[in-house]
Amino acid sequence: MVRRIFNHENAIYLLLLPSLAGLALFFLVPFGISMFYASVDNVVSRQFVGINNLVNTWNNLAFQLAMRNTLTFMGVSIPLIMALALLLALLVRPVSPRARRLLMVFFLLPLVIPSGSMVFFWRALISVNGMINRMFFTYDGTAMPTDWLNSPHALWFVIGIFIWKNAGFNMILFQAGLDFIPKDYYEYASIEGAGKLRQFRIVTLTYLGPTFLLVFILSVVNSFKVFREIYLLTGTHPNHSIYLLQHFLNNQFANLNYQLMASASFFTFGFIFILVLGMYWLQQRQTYI
Amino acid sequence: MEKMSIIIKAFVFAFVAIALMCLSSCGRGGREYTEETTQTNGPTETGTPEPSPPDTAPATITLTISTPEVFTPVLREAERLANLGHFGQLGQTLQLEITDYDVLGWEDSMVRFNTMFMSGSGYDLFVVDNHPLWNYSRSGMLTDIYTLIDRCHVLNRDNFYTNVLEAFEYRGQLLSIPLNFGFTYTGVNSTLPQPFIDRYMEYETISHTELFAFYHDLKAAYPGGFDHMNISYDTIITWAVGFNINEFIDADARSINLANIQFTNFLEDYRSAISHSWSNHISVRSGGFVLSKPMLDERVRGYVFNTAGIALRPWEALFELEDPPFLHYIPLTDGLGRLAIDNFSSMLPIGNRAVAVSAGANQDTAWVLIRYLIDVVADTDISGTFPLVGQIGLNSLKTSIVKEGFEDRARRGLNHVFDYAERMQYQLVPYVGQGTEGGRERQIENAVARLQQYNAMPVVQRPYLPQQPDGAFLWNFIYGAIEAQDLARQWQNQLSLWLIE
Repeated sequence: MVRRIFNHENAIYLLLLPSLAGLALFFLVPFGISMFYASVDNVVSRQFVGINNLVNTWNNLAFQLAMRNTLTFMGVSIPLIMALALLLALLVRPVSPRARRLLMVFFLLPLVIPSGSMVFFWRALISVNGMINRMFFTYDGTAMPTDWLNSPHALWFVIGIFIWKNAGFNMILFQAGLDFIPKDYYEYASIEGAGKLRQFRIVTLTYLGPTFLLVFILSVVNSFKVFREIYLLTGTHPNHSIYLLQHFLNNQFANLNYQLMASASFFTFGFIFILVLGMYWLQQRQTYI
Repeated sequence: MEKMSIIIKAFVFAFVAIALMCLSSCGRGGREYTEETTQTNGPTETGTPEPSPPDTAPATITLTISTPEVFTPVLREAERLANLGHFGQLGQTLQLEITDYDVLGWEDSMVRFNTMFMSGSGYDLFVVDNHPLWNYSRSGMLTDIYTLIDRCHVLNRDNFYTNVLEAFEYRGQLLSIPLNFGFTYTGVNSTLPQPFIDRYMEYETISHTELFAFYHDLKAAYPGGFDHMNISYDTIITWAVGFNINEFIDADARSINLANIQFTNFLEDYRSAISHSWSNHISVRSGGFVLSKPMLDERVRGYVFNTAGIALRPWEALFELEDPPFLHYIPLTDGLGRLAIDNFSSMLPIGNRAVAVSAGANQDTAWVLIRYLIDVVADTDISGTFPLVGQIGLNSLKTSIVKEGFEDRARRGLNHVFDYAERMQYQLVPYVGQGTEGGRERQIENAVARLQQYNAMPVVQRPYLPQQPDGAFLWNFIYGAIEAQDLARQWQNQLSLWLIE
């Protein structure tokens, strides 16, 4: 009887149960509640207002700015970090296993440093009285130091922080992907007359497809996490150029405006969903040799 | 076998569904709480609950309130009076469930309020200072108090100082009602050269900009003297900046324009005026006692202005004194000549307070309580309900938001200042006519007339600045690390975001 209950198929569902419950409790339910808030006038009277909140959010200038900045940030930082991580993975590949392990630890360090400590470092580096200003700019009394995080260049610093923190992890993922490509493929390509560049394009890039998808999804997720560092560095209302969607969500929560917050969450979800779906579709369409 | 598989699948999905339903119901708590606390008496024509038959009326009505701790005794007194009066007649009991919050920790408190609302609970009333309630207007979680006033037949809008209510409005909504109000009075050092005394005497009110101009002209004429500038009893720069920043903010249009020469000039003026001393607070008291004239003269030497705000300052601010250290105390204004409503005494039990009502609250009961609160706050100085030394005379500089009884209250309050001063044998600077018949009355009548004149003038609230712009940028500016233009640009950047959110 017991064996019948815990047969292979049922065991799958039973083992999935805690995970499903957790997913429901901590993701689906909050998402459902958010969608509910997005469709009512406020959380007290809770009158259904249809898509009014979505329209208001879409027309909100702060939301538009946050969306624009988030897209710009992702559009620049994700391709950059993926390219850099792949480059690092390729560069590290030929070295000895021992050196490789050391390099991996080195590249992973930024990921394990607590945000607070990291922010302290970045602040010391880029604040008005920070090292960059001291090292590269001398003041003759006519020029004033630059507050980089409140300058038009602020976005580049945020991109820098993001890449510095996450490139190592992505590099390891690419390394794992590279390890899975059989060496025979390169030999076949070589026999067929393909040069190194062509081998890279035809073999490496093609067979790294699933890794690319994984790195892309994780980079998208991590790009949202960069808010923590920006928030610690610049607070709730940073320079316009680094005002991201999370700032908007966070500040709407502080303003008790759950409707706008929930609507913005809806747009964010939709945006990520379409993005990931698109990438998945692209990856599915990829043809192998 | 197949059946068992179906059962297990059903169990998994049922578990998930139950989890969904359980959590969904969490968000309904607030609604249910509100309904539970609502009396059986609905809104009536008078805006107050009609007496209900004893067998149906709830015995106890509960209101939850979040308040700065120092205000709790005032709320308890209003609760006591309401139970003796309105609710006692109805055979009911009003019970206040009070939660204190740190008056300086509004931001943290808001996070707590938010999570409470999200989890389905929340407060019926909030006692606030000068908080950016308009920022919460779009959430629909606060009651427009005009609707409560309009429903009430005991009081209508004309019974209130509408100029003050308008200063608290946002897009026609009154999201919090001030219980009282007052202004910041600034006097000038009486030992200044006569031309400057004469110049100051020409002002009926004065703005920060005019204060700076006066100060700089004085410094230009007498470079070696008057090292300090005291424009407030507590010279926190952001408060002064707040008053002045007001004219550059359009809260209705949600726009701000700090990147202009007037504002940067103001910042530069301010920096040059205050850079000599940050803690330039003149206290007429020492160890709990008011200083004697010679000691005070010694202390105030070098200060150009002084501000009367708390304690026995009505004596200085409102009465004509013989040979005072500072004279001609006049209200501060913003750049547009509107009297700046003072909120400097937020740490005291009274001072300026406002009350906001949650949209989910029992609104009729809340309004009854607010009416009692207005009375308690207005009478506090007279009745000595909360006799702390620091607040004696304070309400003589304040006016209840309800017009009725102003003159009577003001006279009694000012008389109380005299009585208290005599009883405590403070060595105050004597007033003109002291010891003569009718001398005190003349002083009081003059003071009442002045207060009445000020109360009728256009007024403005100091705009709330988020905490962030008050910090590092400002200090960088004060210490010369950045220029006024940089500070203005940074604040412009931050505040403009804050406004459009």
